[in-house]
Amino acid sequence: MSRIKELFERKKQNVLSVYFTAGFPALNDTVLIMQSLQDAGVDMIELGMPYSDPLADGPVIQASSTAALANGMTIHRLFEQLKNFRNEIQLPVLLMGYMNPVLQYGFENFCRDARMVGVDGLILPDLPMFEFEKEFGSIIKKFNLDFVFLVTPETEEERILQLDRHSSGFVYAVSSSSTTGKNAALADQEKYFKKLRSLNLKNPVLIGFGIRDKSSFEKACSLAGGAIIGTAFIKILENAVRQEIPIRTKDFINSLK
Amino acid sequence: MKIVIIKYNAGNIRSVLFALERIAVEAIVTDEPDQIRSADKIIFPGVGEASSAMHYLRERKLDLLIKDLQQPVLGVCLGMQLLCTHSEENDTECIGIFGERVKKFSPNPEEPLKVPQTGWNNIYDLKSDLFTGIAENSFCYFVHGYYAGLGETTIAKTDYVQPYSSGLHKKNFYGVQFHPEKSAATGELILKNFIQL
Repeated sequence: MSRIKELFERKKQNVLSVYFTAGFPALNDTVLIMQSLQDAGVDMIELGMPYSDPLADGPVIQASSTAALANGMTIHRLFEQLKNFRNEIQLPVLLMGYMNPVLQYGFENFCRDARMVGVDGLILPDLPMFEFEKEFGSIIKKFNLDFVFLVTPETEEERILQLDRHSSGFVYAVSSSSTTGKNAALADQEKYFKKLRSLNLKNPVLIGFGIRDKSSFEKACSLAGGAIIGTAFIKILENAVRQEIPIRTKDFINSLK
Repeated sequence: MKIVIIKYNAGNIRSVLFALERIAVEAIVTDEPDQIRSADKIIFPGVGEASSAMHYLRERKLDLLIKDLQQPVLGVCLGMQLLCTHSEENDTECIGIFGERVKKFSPNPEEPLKVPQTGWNNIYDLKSDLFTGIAENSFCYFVHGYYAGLGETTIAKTDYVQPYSSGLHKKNFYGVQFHPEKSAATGELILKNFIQL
């Protein structure tokens, strides 16, 4: 069983997944941040691969990606940094990013190297379901990686069911088809998550986009299996020097509980 | 109120529809002249290429129809650029509401910026009812390789390679270079402001 499935077997509620951009604030902070998140008690890590065109990100994550790229982060570098991370990190880890740099790297090579270093799953928001079915899904499965699709309030029910069938691990519910760091009206959100619950998906649902503090985290947990925090954590890392990362991370994660 | 989104061969119509849905506004997507003329507000969206879009509009005489509209019209991205006089993109004569010309970004080799600009950037020097309640330097979402220069009808500016017009306004015509439908709360407020003009 994959680490992600194991997590959801063990923990059905209040799952906290944290996103950060690899190579930010400094190029070599990646594993330290993962270690800090693990020590602070998060359940899962989404490691962002920076890309110049933030198709689904807000300004904060865009700025972290721009900084990470300026620091010299690439997919090759990231896999170098991740070579021995499984000696320290037991949490499930997903790589999240856009198709363009992954295709440049070579999709199959990317999946192989991800598996080899010990990554558990992928989130590629701009990989369309059609291309997943036609071409990429089988490669992802070949390397035993989980794959997570995103659903939005505008996604048709039939399509949500298809996306759920193709997802393994969990389904990533975004609060709106706009970008990260934004809030839809709470009433609309509740209707949407109620709809997701009524569909009896095979995967647990995590709520991403718009979770920033204890009350929004609790709210998300009351509507789904847990939540993903990205923008709010990137803000915590902004201007952090290496020594400050563990304590800042710990304080932030504690503030959510 | 009847809101019409002009249907033509340049895309991104669904995300405009969804954004309007989020602010509880219904819209009709059509290229029927009567439908367009009888609308209270018209959105002219667009992601695409200038010359093929103009060719399509001219074939259906939609260029002349748009020019004669009296009600508020909002051009978005390519839609805004097509309301200018001329685009460098395949040397295209455009509809000619706004006096500004559309040029290709040509970054300084010493400070290479990627073209197209894709992502969030600030809008400033805001001068229009379209931006009521929008703070200076708010972030909006852009995807474009061509830009309208600064001119008399500029109502918002953005810096990328150089300052350029991210908003234009003349009489009943408005244009924004960014995608309000992709610009989170700021974009939704701008769409609301347009609907309430």
